[in-house]
Amino acid sequence: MQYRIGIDVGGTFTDVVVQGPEGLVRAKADSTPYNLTVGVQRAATLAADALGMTYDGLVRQAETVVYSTTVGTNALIERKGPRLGLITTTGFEDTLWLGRGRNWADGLSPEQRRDRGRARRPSPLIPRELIVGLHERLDPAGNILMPLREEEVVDKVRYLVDQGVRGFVVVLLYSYVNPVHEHMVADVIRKEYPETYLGHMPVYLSSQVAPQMGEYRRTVTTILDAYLRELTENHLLDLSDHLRELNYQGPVLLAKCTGGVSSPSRTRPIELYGSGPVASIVSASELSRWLGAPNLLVTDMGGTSFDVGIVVEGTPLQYDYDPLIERWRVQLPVVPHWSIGAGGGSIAQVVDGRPKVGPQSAGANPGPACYRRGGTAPTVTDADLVLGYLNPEFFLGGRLPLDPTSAEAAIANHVAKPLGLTVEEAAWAVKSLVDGTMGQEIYRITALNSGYDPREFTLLCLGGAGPVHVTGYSGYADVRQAVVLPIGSVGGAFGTLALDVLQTYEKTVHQVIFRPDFERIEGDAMTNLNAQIEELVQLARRDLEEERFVAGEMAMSLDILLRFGQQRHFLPITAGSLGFREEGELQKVASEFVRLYAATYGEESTFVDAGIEVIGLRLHARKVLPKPVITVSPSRDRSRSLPPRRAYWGPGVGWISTPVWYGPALEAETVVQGPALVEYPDTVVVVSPGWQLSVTENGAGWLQHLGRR
Amino acid sequence: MGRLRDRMVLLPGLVYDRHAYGKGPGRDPELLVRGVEPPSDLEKKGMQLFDDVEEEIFHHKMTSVVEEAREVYQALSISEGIITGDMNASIFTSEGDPAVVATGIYFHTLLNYAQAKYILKYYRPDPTVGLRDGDIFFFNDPTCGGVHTFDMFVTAPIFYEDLLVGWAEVGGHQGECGSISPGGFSPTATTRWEEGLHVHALRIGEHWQLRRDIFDFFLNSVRNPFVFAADLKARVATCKRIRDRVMRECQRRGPVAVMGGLRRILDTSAKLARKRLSLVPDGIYRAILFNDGVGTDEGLVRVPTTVIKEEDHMTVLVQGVSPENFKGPQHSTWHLVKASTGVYLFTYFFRGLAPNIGLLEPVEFLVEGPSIANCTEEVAHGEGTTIAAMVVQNLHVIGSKMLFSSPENLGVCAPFSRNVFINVYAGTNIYGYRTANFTGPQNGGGQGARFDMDGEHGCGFFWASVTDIGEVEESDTRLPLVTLARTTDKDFHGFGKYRGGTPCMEVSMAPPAGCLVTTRGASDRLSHNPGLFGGYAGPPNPRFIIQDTNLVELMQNSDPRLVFRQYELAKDHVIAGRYRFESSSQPTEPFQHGDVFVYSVGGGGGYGDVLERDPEAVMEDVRTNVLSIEMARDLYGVVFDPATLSVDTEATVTRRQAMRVERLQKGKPFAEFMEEWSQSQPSPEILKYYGDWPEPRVKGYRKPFWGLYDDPTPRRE
Repeated sequence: MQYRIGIDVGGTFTDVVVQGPEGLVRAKADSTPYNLTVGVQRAATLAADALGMTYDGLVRQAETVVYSTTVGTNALIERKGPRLGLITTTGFEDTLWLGRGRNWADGLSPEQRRDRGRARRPSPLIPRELIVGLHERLDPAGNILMPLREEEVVDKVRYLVDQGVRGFVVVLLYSYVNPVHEHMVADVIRKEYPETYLGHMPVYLSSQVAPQMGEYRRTVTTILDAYLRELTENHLLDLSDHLRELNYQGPVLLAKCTGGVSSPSRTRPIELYGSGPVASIVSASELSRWLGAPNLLVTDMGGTSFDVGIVVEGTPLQYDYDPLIERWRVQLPVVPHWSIGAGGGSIAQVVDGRPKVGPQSAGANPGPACYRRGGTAPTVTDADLVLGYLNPEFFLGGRLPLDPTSAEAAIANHVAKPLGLTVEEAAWAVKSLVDGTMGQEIYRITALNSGYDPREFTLLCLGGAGPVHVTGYSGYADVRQAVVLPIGSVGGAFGTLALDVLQTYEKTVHQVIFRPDFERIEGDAMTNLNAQIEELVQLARRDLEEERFVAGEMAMSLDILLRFGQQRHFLPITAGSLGFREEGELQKVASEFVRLYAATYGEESTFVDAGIEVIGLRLHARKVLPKPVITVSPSRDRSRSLPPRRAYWGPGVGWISTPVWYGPALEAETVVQGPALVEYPDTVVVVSPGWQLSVTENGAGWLQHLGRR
Repeated sequence: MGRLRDRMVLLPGLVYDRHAYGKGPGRDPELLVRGVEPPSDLEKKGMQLFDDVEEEIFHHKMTSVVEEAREVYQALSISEGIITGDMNASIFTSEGDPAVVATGIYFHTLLNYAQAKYILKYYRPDPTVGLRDGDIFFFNDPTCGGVHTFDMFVTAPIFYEDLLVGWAEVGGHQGECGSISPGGFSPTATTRWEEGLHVHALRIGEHWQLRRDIFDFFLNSVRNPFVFAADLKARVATCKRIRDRVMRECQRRGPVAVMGGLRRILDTSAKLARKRLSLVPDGIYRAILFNDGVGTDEGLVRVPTTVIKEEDHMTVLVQGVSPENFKGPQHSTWHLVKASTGVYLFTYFFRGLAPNIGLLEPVEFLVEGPSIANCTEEVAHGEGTTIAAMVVQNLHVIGSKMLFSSPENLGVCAPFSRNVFINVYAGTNIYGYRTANFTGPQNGGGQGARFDMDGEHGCGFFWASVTDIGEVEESDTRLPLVTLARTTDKDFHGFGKYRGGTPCMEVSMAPPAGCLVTTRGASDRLSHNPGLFGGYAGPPNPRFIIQDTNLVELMQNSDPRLVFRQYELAKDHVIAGRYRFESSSQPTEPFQHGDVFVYSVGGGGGYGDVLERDPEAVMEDVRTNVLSIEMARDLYGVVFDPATLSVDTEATVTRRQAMRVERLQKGKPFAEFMEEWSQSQPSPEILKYYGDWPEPRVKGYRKPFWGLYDDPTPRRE
């Protein structure tokens, strides 16, 4: 029992990282959407090979398996979930359908959002005829305006059953304040369809899944949770059975987009969505200490997308407001990460006489033209090959030979000729555009969410295509230094091993602390808040006891969500304790809110006269787990210096014979001056002119721009 | 200009290419009609520093900056309009032209530039004012370049050292402005003096600090000082954010490059617009809409639109418009008409091109004035958007016809819903705050049908591409009302081969403490949501209120007959009370607990012949409650089993064939129709605001309005 196995199942590849006495081992295999466990097994077998073990032996000796999966992605895209019925308040049957008027644009690029004439909503997860309204109504304080009649519930439930539904989602207005009517509905359904009999159907109450203000987001969150549950459960049971059959004794922990892991019994299906990128970001907070770089911009450039996350002072950025899952706006405390349609497979084209790159991607199939899998559209990878950055015989360690002729033809036909450029000028334009887009998106994201100056950050470069472009996009991001890591191509799997056990509990409350123009704290503010906090603490304790955690193993912390009076936007402030004993503590939280608000939006934006309100509480329960350690030693499987290659470095420099190094063979303190190419089995670090790469003892490659910007 | 435009005849004594009012304190209409300024020497120098790729990257960076600003502005604001998207954030060139814009509302993209130009021309050289880094200017006066007084903006110069490189500007629909009705819209206003604060371009702060005395003056001039203050601070903070980002880009690229880059973006847009225009067939295209009221009174008024398209240039002529009246606030300005066309042109006609004022460079605007489309300064302006939107809808119909046989025909569709209707609720909300504002369903208009698919239901605001109707659980805590439903509605869209989308219909009731409601709107009898190529118009939507009701009691008894949808409420009268179907321009009125308000902005127009609609699609509309059995049967000619909604295909074909024969029997030759039609005339009561009949500005001219082009010497008596 000495190995910890981290698994990240992505859309294209399944990555595995094993931490053991021998150090850290990584492996990568194709994902197998027909049965994800097969891809997991293949990648883990490769890792076991590297350790000189069998797959069975590795599993048997593992103490922990941490799993990040995209099992729900395809189910959502292909609408493969169960037939569900939605029971809601009369008058709000179209809430899901209308989607706040804006849901046609949610999850689309800015260009697509402007194209309203061609707007198409995502097809709803529950069709309109399976949505029924009940004559019931509460007011915002939870008082009953229209009492619910049991006989109506029975009628509506029977109607839905007649329509063939296999589960019920219940979302009634203001149930987050008073769930009495939702509980009544659940009781009726359970009475009609008892759990002890065949035909029992699950009931999902919004007041339990997402007890927060906002009927559209709460509806979507509850539906997604219900929609993905069965499929997710089945897959996890399959994997779990498979591991148990191999005598695995430890826990299977699931990585969550909320930034932690938990056992399947304490994990909601939607929390698995985006867990891979989040694991990378959370692990980066660990790496920030190891690297001695407290502020990191975490970037992961793959085949189709470019993911960005932020670590500030060694901590991932605060949770996202209104995150999107696919094209659905949900209520979930997701560690914020942004995905931009730019990757190695992004397609270049000329529109209205102007060059464009992405967001369309050739993906892995047919892939870039140079893959020779039938793709003819020029991609970023084709441009990289034309420019001489990629070694056609050593792409992915030689497993995928590239065809430069196809790449040149694609760039020539679709970019160079329409723009009247040479092939290399066109390829350079493609590279410049994608670098500019990615870099400036990093800039926007950093600035938008924190107001931090990107110059105070180090860019952590993950993903197979990242190191090829990092010196390009760093400049546009206004970042001075970047770092590449040996585990960079399997950042998600590595990240899973860095996560702690984490449960998060959220609740909408409305409590005025200060009224407008009044300086005194509201009389009942402290008492009311303490009562609400205690409710969350009790909920957490119940879960922890059921999970058999020993008291003291889990640490709890509390975020208070505050806003100026009537404002929609809030900022979370971490409270010093799980409750307020004196007004001074409440005053301190309010002061911290004003300070953070001023730091984020500027002193001139604060408006204390508007009053300060609490609009939500968020409780975290965390158990710290061991963290992975990166250890590397120089490889001797290829020589340190490889034959130079002609590469194009822009119109100012042109084509030059460029030194090529074999990255794994570089010893600590090696310094490589750009222009240079440093090849690894799974990527190439392109060291542009004006940059230098310094290799440190821990295998990290530091890229620094030598000139002034 | 070419041979087609030579046929255009402008009437003597009226203005077309400028405003119907002249220069005044803080106002210089010449600055509004000038268009994009020629590049300065420094801008020219800076433009040379870019190639296409670098320009694309620079444009992306500036777009990122304004997108960020938009998010910040919306996050920090309180007003419903701002939160739900009636706003924008921009970077202007140093000469005062909007180069990069995050929106929000497209017409804001093209408005509020003359204020910066005014400051440059008059205040910067004036030692009593001047212009310095950190200055903050505020404005909301429509005659100076804005829309209406409740759209409030802040602009700030961006200096790099001593060089003015551009302007940051942020603003939007804030609502309450001290006008005679709470919340901004004042349907009974007849002159501008009833429409609250009018601020031209006033420096309200220096060194990024608001001046306390001016701040207090504003707060003392409006009913909700708390909201005003919060939103003003949000605008200043956002402007500063834009300024800081542009400054950083100046450090990176140099200030001259930034100046040149901003100017080059406009040139590129103009080039792309010309290219797009050159792909569209030349010709003269026309459309017309009528309105059924003027604000305080009902009556017919007319807004025609003609487009003359030749090569890479287009003239938009708004001629033959009803004269202005002092009976209400439905008066537009030359600049508002021009800016409003951006709503159509940017989204559909110039689809795919970055929205900025450069796109309008090859478009000439001629708007007849004084008229309801181009009014004088004294008249009330608050609902000028009603008139400007009619031009937009006309242009939408015209544009779809122009694009139909062009390579850009993906933009062909019926107009988006614009049967404007807004309830402004005033009172005290559940948390004890005094407030006056509207709710979100104006952002849930029905989309017009496309040439290849139906319009989406409740899909945004007429003026903007992405807006938000918000969530009731939130809005009911902000405003004094209880929202009972947000739904689609039955038969409330334009029918056609492809149907328009239905709007988001809101049904609400006054809370226990009651509330005040002011309603502004138009198209109570005559729709402004035309169909296309045989598609039906989206229906008109008058105000619908049920007063002195028993609703509270019905709710307490959970009466199962209650259906909170317009169709059923109007048809079944389950709620007892006084049913009021009336003009949607109504003054402020108090309402009691249980009084019911129903409103939406109407459904989108349909596309093509109803008899060509797929019968299964008709049944799907019945199944999803947006079409009645009767309409499916009688209008669409589908034969089906009402219990199972299964279609009898053969019988449907036969029925539709019979309906076509019936149509032919009813039809008559065009000349014959015109002969009869020309003899008809509405009653004088209906025509009292119309002008001369049938041609409002040419007495005794009996031809249809396009006759002006056939008669080289029209008379005007």
